[in-house]
Amino acid sequence: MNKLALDGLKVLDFGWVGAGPLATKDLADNGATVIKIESTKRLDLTRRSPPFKDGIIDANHAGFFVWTNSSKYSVTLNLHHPQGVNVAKRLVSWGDVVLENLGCGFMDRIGLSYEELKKIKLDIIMVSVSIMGRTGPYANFKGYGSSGAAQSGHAFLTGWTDRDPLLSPIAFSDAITPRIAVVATMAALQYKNRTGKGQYIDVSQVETMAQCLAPAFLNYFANGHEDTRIGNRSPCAAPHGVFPCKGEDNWCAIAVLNDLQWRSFCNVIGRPDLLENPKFMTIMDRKNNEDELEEAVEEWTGNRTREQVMTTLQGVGIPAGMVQDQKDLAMDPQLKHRQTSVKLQHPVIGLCGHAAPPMKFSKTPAQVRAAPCLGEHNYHVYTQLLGMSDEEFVSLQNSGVFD
Amino acid sequence: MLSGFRALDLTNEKGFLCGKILAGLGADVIKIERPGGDPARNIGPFYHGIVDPERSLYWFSYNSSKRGITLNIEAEEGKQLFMKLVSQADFIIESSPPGYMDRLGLGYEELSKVNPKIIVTSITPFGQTGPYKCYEASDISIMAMSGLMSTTGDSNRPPLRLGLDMSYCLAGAHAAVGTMFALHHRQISGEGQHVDVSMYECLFVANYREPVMWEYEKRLMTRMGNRFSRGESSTQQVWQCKDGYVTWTLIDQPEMLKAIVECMDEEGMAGALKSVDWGAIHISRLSEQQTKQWEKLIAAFFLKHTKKELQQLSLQRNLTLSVINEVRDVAESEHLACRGYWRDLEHPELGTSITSPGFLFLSSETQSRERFRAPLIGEHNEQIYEKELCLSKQQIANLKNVNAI
Repeated sequence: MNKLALDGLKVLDFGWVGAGPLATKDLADNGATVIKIESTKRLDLTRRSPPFKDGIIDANHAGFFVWTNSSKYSVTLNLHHPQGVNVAKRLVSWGDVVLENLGCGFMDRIGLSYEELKKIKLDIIMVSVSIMGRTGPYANFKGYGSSGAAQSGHAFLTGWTDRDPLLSPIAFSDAITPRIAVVATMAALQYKNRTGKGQYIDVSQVETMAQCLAPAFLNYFANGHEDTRIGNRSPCAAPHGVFPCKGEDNWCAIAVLNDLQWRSFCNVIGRPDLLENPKFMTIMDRKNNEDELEEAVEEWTGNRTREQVMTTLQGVGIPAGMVQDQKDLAMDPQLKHRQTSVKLQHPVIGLCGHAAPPMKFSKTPAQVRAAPCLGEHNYHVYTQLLGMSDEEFVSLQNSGVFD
Repeated sequence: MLSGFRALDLTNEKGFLCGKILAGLGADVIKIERPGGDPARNIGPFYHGIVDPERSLYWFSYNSSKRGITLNIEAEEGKQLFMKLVSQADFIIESSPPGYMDRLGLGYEELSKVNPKIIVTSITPFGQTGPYKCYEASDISIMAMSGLMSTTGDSNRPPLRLGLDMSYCLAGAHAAVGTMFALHHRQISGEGQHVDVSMYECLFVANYREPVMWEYEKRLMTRMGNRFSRGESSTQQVWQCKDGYVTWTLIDQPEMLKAIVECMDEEGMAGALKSVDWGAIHISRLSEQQTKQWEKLIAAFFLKHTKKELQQLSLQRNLTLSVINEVRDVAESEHLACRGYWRDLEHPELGTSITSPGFLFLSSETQSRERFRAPLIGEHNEQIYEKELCLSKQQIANLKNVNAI
């Protein structure tokens, strides 16, 4: 078996749903030993949500969990049992990193605050992911991934000019923030290598999103200008949008980014007359007459399939991409080539899709392993990694500590 | 946290964020631009609306805490200078089309001969290989292909793009992850490697559970605007309030639902909701009609209150409501101010400072702060070429003459 980038790294995953588990998934897929702490008494939302394999509503038939938790070990541990926290502490003494995105104060309340963890392992690295951060007047804020979009300003900046802000079903901060949490974890490990010190890291979804939205904030602070929604248009490019193609609900996005591309565009769609039209001469002109411009584009795209639009424009170096849904993506040749979704044998579900890391390492290619069943690794983790005897394991199990 | 490490950042706008993340963590990130400046400096918005390569707020946003030099790696002398820099660097981040660096003799294989420890992180729209590797991409076109747009927007309008260049940011964040993973490996093995980041794949894996909805149930999520799909019906997610918008939705949390009805009742607005036994119902099994009836009552309640009032109420009574903040709300957020989030970065050349997002995360031990503003064109040429590489003034003049710097 190949070496992996994070061989030897030991991580405890106290995460749930999205942001936390996606962060530890990145680590696990690249070789870290990630132990997900679960409980039969408190199932992760992703183990309770559809889709379920064959419609069987069961923690081990949940596709969403599989997609989010590849390559991890799963143990069940009842953190509300008096001895449960003791076992958790033993796991901490095994681990290098503890990552959590549970409700505000939860880790503190059960006796696993950073201060407590330091007593077990002075150089422990603890990473906490939340919507608003763990300090400040809104630290108690309860929310879901889309709260990140709402709080950060992203939702307000998404949508049509003449309609309400759009809260996308894609909780985008659930995509960005885990990666920042991972970078923070890796940087903390670097720091530990140099200084021997651990640390507590507090990652806020709103703060990481706001970094991505920085141009809007600089526009406000430097210019007093408040950005608002612009639909699919762009302040510095035209045509720029999503255009209807032949067939029901078929679209292609087109972005003509400069005058050179505009020239190629007009020629390839057979409209050199547009180049002579003073309404469309410069980017400013095109922006000033954008409605009319878009009509001209639609006249062309409406008579062609989205594939034709995309390949014709790509053929002359114009960024064009057809709108694809999951049916299309399941057959996408690029994703197939890159093996972005890999079919692995899951103990209960059988062969099913797991998301692979969206990057390739030349020397340490990632190895995605099947997502775990609930408590699948109890015996291995508690007896092999923690060194419990069989007697102790059985005794704790009978007392409900591993519920 | 990363002080002592050095990155050479050759990226365009598709990869800026990676170097910015590393710079914020303390690495010395050197932004390398072609002589005359990077074309991305033409992306707005601009300081005071002045369209100028040294006034781009977009450039300022994503290149803070980086030093800057000009270098033409296509010129022979430029290449040699680049190799010199590579020999002293830990990371190279670049976002050129697949094959470009190889054709210049600056591919990973060549660079690792000069410095076996070098980690090269390449960010491209589709990756270094595959049928789409040469496709052009812009944020909107790649987001369209990724599946993220097919579920975003209203049913009676085209699919919608998310605000600002989110695909570039996501790829940059993943690239920082890949770079750090490669660094971790290098410290154990001594060897660098090539990290090939595909923006398309970053977006594809950001699809929440749509891929498995198709795989397991052959169900495709359709665009429902601000409604959230639930079994038989759908629930509203975005509501107008007195001075803006909030987000909240009917969800199977009996305690929370009881709490919001209590709040409404205190103002005599609960109506039919008062008699509902929230523990006994499932939101996903409600009829469309019933959902809309109840939502009408809730809409009236929200419309009566301001964003601030509703946010406060939600915090006090655990309503899982969130204000939809406008830019100004975020900029003036008491919470972010308490966290020390905003930082004034000095722009001596403009005679002012500009308030910017100040950090990526908080830490008990270290800082991940923005340290200084984005570089001017060639701002650190003297510092790096003369002082650090010890080139003579004559050598620098020669390099300028052949347009190498």
